[in-house]
Amino acid sequence: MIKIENLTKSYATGKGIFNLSLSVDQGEVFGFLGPNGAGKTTTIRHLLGFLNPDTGKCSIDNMDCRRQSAEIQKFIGYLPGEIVFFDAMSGFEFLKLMAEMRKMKSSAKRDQLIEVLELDCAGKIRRMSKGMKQKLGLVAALMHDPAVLILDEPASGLDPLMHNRFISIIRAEKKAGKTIFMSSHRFDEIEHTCDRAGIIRSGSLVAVEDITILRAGQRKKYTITFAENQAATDFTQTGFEIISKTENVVDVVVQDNLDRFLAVLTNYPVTGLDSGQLGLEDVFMQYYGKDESND
Amino acid sequence: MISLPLLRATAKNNYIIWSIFAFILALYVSIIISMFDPDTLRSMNAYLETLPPQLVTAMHFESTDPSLLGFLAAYFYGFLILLFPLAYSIIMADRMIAKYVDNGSMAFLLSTPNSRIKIALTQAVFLLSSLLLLIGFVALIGIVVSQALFPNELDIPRFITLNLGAVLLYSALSGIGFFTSCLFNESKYSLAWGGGILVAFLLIQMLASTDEQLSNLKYLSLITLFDPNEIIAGGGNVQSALLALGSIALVLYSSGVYIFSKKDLHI
Repeated sequence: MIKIENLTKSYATGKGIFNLSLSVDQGEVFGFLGPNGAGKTTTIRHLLGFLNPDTGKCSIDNMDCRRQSAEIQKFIGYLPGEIVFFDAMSGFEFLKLMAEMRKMKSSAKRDQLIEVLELDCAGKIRRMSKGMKQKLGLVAALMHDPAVLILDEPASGLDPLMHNRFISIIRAEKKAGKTIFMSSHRFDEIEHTCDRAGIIRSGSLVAVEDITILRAGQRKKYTITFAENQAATDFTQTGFEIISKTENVVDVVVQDNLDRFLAVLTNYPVTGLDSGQLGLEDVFMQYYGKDESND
Repeated sequence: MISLPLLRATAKNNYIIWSIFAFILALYVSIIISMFDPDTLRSMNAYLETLPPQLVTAMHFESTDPSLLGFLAAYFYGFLILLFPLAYSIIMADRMIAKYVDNGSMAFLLSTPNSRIKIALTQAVFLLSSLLLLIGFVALIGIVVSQALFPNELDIPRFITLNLGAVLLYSALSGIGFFTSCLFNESKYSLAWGGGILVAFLLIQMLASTDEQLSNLKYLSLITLFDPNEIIAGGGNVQSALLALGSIALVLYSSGVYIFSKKDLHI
């Protein structure tokens, strides 16, 4: 459905995207991951037909993204990464303008989304919070029931409750057979929705993997609190991958040795055990240099 | 060709600015008309005729057309019409394209099935028709106030021709602003270049008319193509000057739309 072939766009600053190729099948949910400034938005701008590629091309449903942009827009929904609207309008006026410019006939989906996301669209956009603007952008991107969704950092600015609703919306869209391309710089944001993920770094695609493979290799972090410092010190000698140890608290990484980990733990006086999400971030860390592991 | 919903939204977004300029211009044209006194002008001209013609030219006391039309051409269309609609054009041209690209809202407009050409044409149509309405409104107020204060003094057909000239002038001048609005991705550059060129034209125009030695400077300013006194006198060059203004407008607007349809948009 979405096809990017040898796409290159370089800027004088040395940034850009270089020889990027990937494709997303009909009905697939693709997560596009990378730190800020890696080229995610530049790639998405090519898909929307905003930029002219230096070399290479991209197409959606076999139509050229740049030349047939207006045609493609009939069946795609787009959420920009930076949500800036027509300030002076109210949320409702904005949605109305978008609906009219798309010659939309039904407002059923729009009303349903407004309800699910608890969007208050009566006020001026200028006075809306970042999260509220994000919701408004999501409604605008989804309300015409497009076959392809292109979402740039869709979950940023949403609180945990709304993030969960967003995930169920994406799952429902996926169930309805939509093709979804979404970018994120946080791995846990796409983990629960995507079929495949691609990682972009400094403008180049460094890996594309099935999410199940990525999750199988997922490592978990456990924070153990011991009753005494000596026990903590003894535990660090048992051959587990220790991240840090402060007094009687130890952070340890466990991947496929969970049963041994639990067996060893019973030998020590443990007063607390928390599991922390390392998420895909840790899995992907091998693709990233050490220099960016602190981001 | 154009998107009507967008045209409506743009109009709604900008009508307050339009109204402010329309109000100021209407106020000025009314005040100037009320200052018209045919007797003073006639006696002034009669006095000038008694002086040696060389002296009169040297002192720049050329007699003005003593009619109400001549008075308006000299005092309103000679200067004030160059000030306020110019400011309006500078502000509005930037708001048509560059501002939306700069703040990113253009992304939403372009994520609808409307081509860039259609979006830019819609904005061009709004800018041009708002200027037409602005000058049309001022002309209407001018006619109404003239008829009220000095019944049958104003040569209405020629007054309308004069205003058509002003509309053509502003089609060309706003074309410069529209062009830079399409060319630059940032509002500050669109305003600096579009506004800068228009203000430079105005300054050149003022300099060229104050000093004989600088009068050749006028060929550097588009405003020279609009000569109110020539238009009401029906001078021979008027038609070609106005035609030139119209053509310049056409070239500027269409190349603006073309550039916008082709360029990279970082939105």
